[in-house]
Formats: sequence, structure tokens, C-alpha cells
Amino acid sequence: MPESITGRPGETIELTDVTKRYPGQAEPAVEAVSMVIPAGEVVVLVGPSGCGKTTTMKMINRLIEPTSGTITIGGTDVLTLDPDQHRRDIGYVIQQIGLFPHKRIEDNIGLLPKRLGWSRSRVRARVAELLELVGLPADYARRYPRELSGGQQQRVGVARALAADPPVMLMDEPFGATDPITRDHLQNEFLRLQREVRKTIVFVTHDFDEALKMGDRIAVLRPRSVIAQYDTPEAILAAPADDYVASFIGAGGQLKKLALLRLRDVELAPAPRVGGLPRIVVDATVRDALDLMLGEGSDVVLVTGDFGDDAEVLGSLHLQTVMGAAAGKAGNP
Amino acid sequence: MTFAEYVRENWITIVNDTILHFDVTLGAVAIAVVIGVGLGMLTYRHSTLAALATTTTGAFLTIPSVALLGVLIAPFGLGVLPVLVALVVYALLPITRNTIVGLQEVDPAVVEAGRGMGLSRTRVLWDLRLPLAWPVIFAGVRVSTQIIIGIAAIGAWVQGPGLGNQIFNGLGRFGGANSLNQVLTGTLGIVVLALLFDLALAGVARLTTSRGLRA
Amino acid sequence: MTAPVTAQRPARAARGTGRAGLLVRPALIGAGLLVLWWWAGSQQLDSIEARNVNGEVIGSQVLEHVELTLICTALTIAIAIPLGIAVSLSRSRAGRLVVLSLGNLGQAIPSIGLIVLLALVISIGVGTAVIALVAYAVLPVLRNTMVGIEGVDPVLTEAARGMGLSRLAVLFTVELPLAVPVILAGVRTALVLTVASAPLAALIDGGGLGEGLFTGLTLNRPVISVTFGVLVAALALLADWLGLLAETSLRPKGI
Repeated sequence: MPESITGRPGETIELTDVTKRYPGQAEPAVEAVSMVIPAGEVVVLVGPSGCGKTTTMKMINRLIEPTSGTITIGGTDVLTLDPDQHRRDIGYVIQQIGLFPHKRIEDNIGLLPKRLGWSRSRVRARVAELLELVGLPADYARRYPRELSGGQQQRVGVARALAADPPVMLMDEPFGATDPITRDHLQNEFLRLQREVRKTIVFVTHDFDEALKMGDRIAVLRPRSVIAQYDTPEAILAAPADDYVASFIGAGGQLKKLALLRLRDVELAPAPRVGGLPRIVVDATVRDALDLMLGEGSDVVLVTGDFGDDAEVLGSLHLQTVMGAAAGKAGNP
Repeated sequence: MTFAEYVRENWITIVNDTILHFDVTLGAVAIAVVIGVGLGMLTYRHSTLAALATTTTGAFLTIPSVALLGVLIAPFGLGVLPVLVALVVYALLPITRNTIVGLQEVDPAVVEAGRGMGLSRTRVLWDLRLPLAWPVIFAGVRVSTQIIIGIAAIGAWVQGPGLGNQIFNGLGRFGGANSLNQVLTGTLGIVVLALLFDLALAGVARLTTSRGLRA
Repeated sequence: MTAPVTAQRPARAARGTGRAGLLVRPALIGAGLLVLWWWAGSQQLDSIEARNVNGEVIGSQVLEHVELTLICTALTIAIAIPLGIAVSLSRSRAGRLVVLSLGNLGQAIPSIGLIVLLALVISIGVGTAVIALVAYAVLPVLRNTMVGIEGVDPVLTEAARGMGLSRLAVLFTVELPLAVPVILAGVRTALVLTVASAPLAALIDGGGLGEGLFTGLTLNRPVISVTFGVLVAALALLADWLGLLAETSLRPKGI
């Protein structure tokens, strides 16, 4: 792994009593938000449209200036910094992507490094590295944005945000405009990417399922960006703070919980010496296993290390364990 | 003589020139609407024909008015006729283009609904497309009017009617007692006429646009 | 006003009809001039007509006309584009309103009135003609510069601001390049407007093809006015074509 990708690790963001009040409006758009976003984690702000989640996020890179309160990144009060300098240390990805249509992909990605005075060869190397990181062929560097599909454009959007290796990234519904299949794909890619880069990421969405999937932590927001609950996805599913949070989880909360639980995190029983049992890989979720049980009409499945019939069997999973996991007992994450 | 004195002393001529200026403009716009809207209705469904209509009428607009008038006096002689023809030619592009754009951009769902309830293509054009496109078409009429009201001033050069006569009279007596007053009267008169004309057309646009389409 | 204003939209026809479409205009202009040449040659010219319709007079007037147009257009661009940028940058609502309403009003001010007025107030001659023509042509460029910059998708400027570009950097890397087609459309309009209004300069001793035109009329010699009328029209169409070429070749790739 080249050094620059993992160059700068994430830094902690801390919001203290941050309020945004627009002149002429009775209610503040954001009211006294305080939260700590731990370094290297993905924190999802989720809430209905108009709840102030985007405003809260944009105050972090000061596209919107807070009326009062303090925001620190890595201990530095961001309000004391020059806004433009400050933004160069924050990657910014938006739903509409916003690639510059008159610039080639390489110039879109390389724009900020070039302005930061990187040498031409270093910029070119960085562009190539980032294209590979987001899974695009190297020859796309010479293309114009309109020659790419929506999903490809958003990958470039992510690459551009990462270009100057910022410790912090802000993502405003980044996958909101893509079709469900592409979105799922981009989400998975992004999670893989984040395991490598370990940035601190603030992720805004109105889709609770996306929040569950992407977030290390989720902040469920009420209007005026008031925090209803701020916790890990598992904890929110297990114990929603109130009816408002529960309404976000919606139907199928138990299944959603199982979907968060990977088989590798569940205590498996020894494999029974019976042939013909359904097999599932250890990377799958407990929900996948349950689906397989229901489909095959079997109350036990074999968990394997890899795909294929001759893969090593790691153990077995019983329906009883699944039910226990739903109740929050069997998992040891 | 001050400007005010000049206007007071010559107001009959000035009003007369203004009315004639208004008449020739209105006449030209009326003819241009018939031709332009007709052209738009005939061509909007075929993109090449529509492009041909807009580029041709667009090319007309690039021909300098003095040049066109200079050429038109050969067949039409001096007077109102060459001016009227020239003004119609200049008024065509905005009206034709807006008719085409307006007709093309009618919501396809509305057209489909109309077709679905059994309206013929012609009925859809007259009952749905034209009324829905009308605000756009009329905006083109307003632009055309503003363009030709100024061009009409040059018509006086070929002995056409209107406020241009004030300007050319002033020019003819360059440096003379009332030359500045005359040119000022002609120029300001045309600007005021243009403003009033546009205001009136805005009113007509409001009256002739379906209440359901008003913002 | 909701109406698209004449000829101020970037040319879209050029892309649709391709390179071949760009060749149609000069061919038509050439054909028109040939017809003129044939027609003028077939006329029995009297001594007055012969003195005006000959290669030498025509050549010098065309040259003057082109010179006048180029000077005016250069001045127009030099004034209007920086001014338009300044008004957009200032985000001043008043400035914007003044420019846009002047732009609408300017169309109604008869160019002939403006030129003669200025000649009366200043003096006759080329200088005054240049001032009048520039004053007239500045408006479309100024307005298109502003509209072009304001028309840039706010998502793009936000993305640029979000990555830490300063206001000026956003202007030069994103807003201006994307506004180029609209600005060029304005320049093209101004160019055609200048060629078309330049004959009026002859009325105040400003030279150019207007001299022949007005001579023909004053002396009641249609041969002269038709000849010079067709020449002016050809020149205007040529200017429009050159503007179209510029729009097609200078449009940023990728959009």
C-alpha cells in the first residue's frame, strides 16, 4: 500500500453547542448540537428532510458559518482558521457529485493537489493511485465527466475528495442519486475503501437502512438537528431511545439487526457429522443464514471458510442461536 | 428654444409621428405573428425543418436594416411599404423560434392524455398545444416588438412614417436651431413608446393566458 | 422577461449540423456576392454610378468598415467582460438590476438616434461613431457575461468552494470557463450589431460602407444603394459566421 493513501489518519471532530440561526426566522435551523465524532469512524447523521442535518454538516467545513458554539478538529478550533485553507483539509462529496464538466477526470481529481503546489509527476501518480483505489481503469483519467455513468462519476467524486489526503471527509447523501443496485455496490466499495484509509467521515442520509450499513455510529436527528439518539447501529436497533427513533427503524427491526451481525462474530456450534446440510460462507450475515434455513427447510447450516464444496467447515449455526442473536445474547462483536 | 418649448410647439406633429410609428410597428408584428406562428406550427414536429426555419429567420436578423431598406427600395420604391416589409422580416425570428420551442416543450403527458381521449392531432394542436405554448409564443412577440420599434426609426430614411422623421430632420439641419431637440424627441419618443408598448403587451399576455398557467 | 433574447443563446446548431453546416453560410454569402457582381455588371452605369460602384471605392469602404468594426468590437470586449465579471463578483443586486434593465431598454433605443445625438453633443467624426457603436454593443456582452457566470450550476461552485478554492480561484477555474459559450454568444451578437450599425457612422462622417448606401439614396440611384446594401449584408453574415466559428472552436471540451 503506497504511503500517501493511508498518509493522514482521521482526526476527532467535536461539536459543542453549535447553533445556526438565520435572520428573520423564529426558530434556529440547528439548535445547540454537541457531539464527538471519534477519529477514523464513520458517523451517519440521519433524519427527515429539513431536519438540519446538512446544515450541521456544512458548518464543519464552514460552507455555512455557525451562529454560536465551537467546532474543533484534532483539537483546533476551526473558526480560527482561514475558511479556504480549512476546507482543503476536508474532503467533500455531495449527492449531485459536482464534477467540473469542462475538465478531464485527471484534472478534476488533480485540481486541489495542483493548487497545493504538488509537482506534476506527483499529481499524476496520485491520480492513478486514486483511480485504482476507487476501482476505475487508469485510462479514464483522460475522459470527460459526461463520458462516465452516474456511478462512475460518483467514484471520481470520492477520489477527488480524497485527492489531497484530508483527515476528514464530509459526505452529503453521496449515493442518493444512484439506482439501488449501483448504490449497494458503491456502498460496499466505500466500506472497503474506508477500511484502508481510516478517515473520519461525517455521512448525511435520510435513509435509515443506509445509515445502518455505513455507520460505525448513527446520530438520529429531530428537527433543528436535535439529537434523538447517538449510538452504534446495534445499540440503536436493540434499544431505540423513544418512539421517534423506533419509527425510523420501522418494520423488520429484528431482521435489520441480524443483517448487521456477521457469522464470523457469532459463536458457532461444532459441525454435526451429517451430510447434505446447506453451506454458507463465514463472511455472510446471520440474516443470510436465516434466509438459507427458511429456503432449505433446515434448522441448521454449515459455516465454511470459503465458497465451494471442499471449503473448510468452521462450524454450524442453529436456528436457536439465530433466535438468541436476535434477542441480543449470542453475539460477541 | 428649450426641449420643453419645442415639444409644446410641435406636439401635433410629434403625436402624429408617434401614432404612425405605433401603427407601422403593430401592423408588422401582426403580419409577423401570422407568418411566424404558422411557420412554427408547420415545422415544429420535424427537427430539421424547425432548425431550417430558425436559422433562416435568424439570418434575416443579421442583415443590417439600412442594407435591407437600401435593397428593398428597388422593388417597392420609397414610403411605407419597404419599411413594413423590412419590419416583418426582422420580427420573424423571435416569434417563429418561440412558437417552435413552445409547441415542442408541451408536457408529453398532456398530449398523450389528449390523444388518449380520442382528440385528433389537429385538435390536440389547437386545443392543447397552442394554449399551453401561448405564454412562450407571446414572449417572442414582445421581443419582436422591442426589436422592430427601434428599427422602424431608420425607416424614415426611405421616407417611411414615424418618429424617425424627427431624427432625420434633426440630422438634416445638423447644428441648426432645433436639431438637438428634434433628435432628442425622436429618440426619447421611441424609447417611451417601446416601454408603453411592452407594458401593454404584458397586459395582453396576462389576459390571453389561461388562469391555470399563471405563476 | 421570460423570452430568450435574440441570438444571445450559445449556438447549438453548429453541433447538430456538424462541420458541413458551417460551410453553408460562406457558400451562400459567396453566391450572393456573385449574383451582385453579375447584376451590377449587367447594368448600364451612368457617370455618377460608375464613380461610386467601382473596385477602388468599394475596396476602401469595405476596409474602413472592417476597421471600424474591429476597433469597436475590441473596445466592447475590453469594457464589457471585466465589467460583467465585476458586477457578478460584487453580488450587488442593484448593479445586476441596472445592467439587466439597461440591457432590455438598450434594445429599444434606436441606434440612429444615439449616433446622431452623440454627434450633436460631441462632434461629428469617427471618434463619436466609435463611442456610439461601443455604447450600443457593450450591453449584450455585459449582460451575457453576467448571465453566463450566474448560470453556472451552483452545485459546481459549491463543490469548488467545498474543496477550498478561494472566490477568485472558483471564478477562474470553474465559473468563467463554463460561462465561455454564453459570453461568446454575447460577443457574436455585439459583432453583428456593430457591423450592422456601422453604416450609420457614415451619416456623421465616420466612413465605411454607409457612404455608398446613403449616396445611392440621396442621388436616387438604386444601383448604388443595392450594391452597398448587399455588401453590408454580406459582411454582417460573414461576421456572424466568424462568431459561430469562434463559438464552436472555443467552447470548452466536455460540455
